[in-house]
Amino acid sequence: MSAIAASKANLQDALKKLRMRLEHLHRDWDDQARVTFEKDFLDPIEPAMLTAIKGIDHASEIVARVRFDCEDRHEA
Amino acid sequence: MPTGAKVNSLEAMKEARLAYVQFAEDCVAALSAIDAEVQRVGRWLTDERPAYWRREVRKAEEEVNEWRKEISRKQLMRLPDPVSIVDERKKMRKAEARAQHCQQKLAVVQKWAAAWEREVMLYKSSLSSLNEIIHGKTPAATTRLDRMMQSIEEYLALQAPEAPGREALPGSSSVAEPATDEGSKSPFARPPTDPANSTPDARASSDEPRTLRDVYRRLRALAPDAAARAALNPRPIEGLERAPLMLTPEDEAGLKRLALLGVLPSASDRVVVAVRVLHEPFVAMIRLADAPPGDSGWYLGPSERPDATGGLRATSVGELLAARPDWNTLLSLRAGSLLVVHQGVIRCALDENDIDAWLQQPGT
Repeated sequence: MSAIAASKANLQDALKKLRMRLEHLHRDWDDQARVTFEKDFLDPIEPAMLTAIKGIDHASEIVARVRFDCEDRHEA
Repeated sequence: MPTGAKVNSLEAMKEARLAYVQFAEDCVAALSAIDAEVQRVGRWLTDERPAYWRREVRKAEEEVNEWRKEISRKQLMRLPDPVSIVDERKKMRKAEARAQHCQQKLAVVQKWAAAWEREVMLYKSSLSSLNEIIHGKTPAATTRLDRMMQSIEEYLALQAPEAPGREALPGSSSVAEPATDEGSKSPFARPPTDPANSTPDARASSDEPRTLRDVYRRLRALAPDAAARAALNPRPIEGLERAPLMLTPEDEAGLKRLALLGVLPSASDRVVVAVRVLHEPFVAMIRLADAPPGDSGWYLGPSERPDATGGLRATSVGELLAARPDWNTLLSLRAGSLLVVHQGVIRCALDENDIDAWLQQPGT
């Protein structure tokens, strides 16, 4: 696994852990402040992460192509 | 330790804070690793690769020249029989092919190097929202949670059973209500509790606030209702001008920006003030949503141990503002508002639905 792929997996794992930790937030903290907190600080995370992952995938693809095109397969 | 240690919402906020900060740290670590890799590949592409392929072109061209010279030398010898130069020609063609391959590689490297900055920019722009969450929203989220947790902890500290005699404030005996006066009949009166007979679990009874909303409900419930207010005799309140309720300039300015601001009640409208407010800087200002005509609905009571008022006083908005013109903005909050001020700092500014307009200000 490349360094970029490993870091991408770490990012996805960070989001998964956040989701799991906050899964029951509404059960224990049930008021308007929680709704506002989610709207302001939690809801923007998913779309931001999705955009970042797409960018990382593209960067990973470019890095792989650059390596393939520019390396010397006879190089020691 | 207040009984609030058991409050679910407080624990949930702590967990949310920890989870959010951990998420941001994990993201920073992952993005840093990707950035490092992208930078490393960038240096390889723009610095190392062009030099490498130029060197390989030169080496291959030198090899071509050497084989060409060798072929020429053998062709000149012609003694006594022509010498075979088949192998040398093969090797020269191989060197020529290598030189051509290296030149093509150099061109490809130069093409990628020219495109690299643009690709890096594209990659970085795809991270802008996530970076904003990590570096912009995380401090704002933790600040907001810290403020909410601090508010809960402060309010829950009020839940300790009252010690006997605490109702009368130190130094306030001259203004405390006599046993038969309005203060003792106020809706703030609470059945006496005996701490010795009260276990921690018993103290954490069903009426103990579990969330901020519970705290707000309790403060609102403790405000004297219209009937209790009407029973109070309006008169000037001694010591108002020395009451420590005074907003910081920043919070005064912030309050003026809130949508919660309405119209100042009429000068003749009634206001009810708890005597403790004259001495303590921890104040809950509650304005009834359904005050009758002639009553502003305003009640100024203590936010800490809110049921211990020290007695109630009624006066008019005009009398109040004559003593405290700096409370003009405070009294202009619309009906249904609940404002808590601790030592000049606004802790919350709720509307009639208990939505905290103060917390939802930009930058909090």
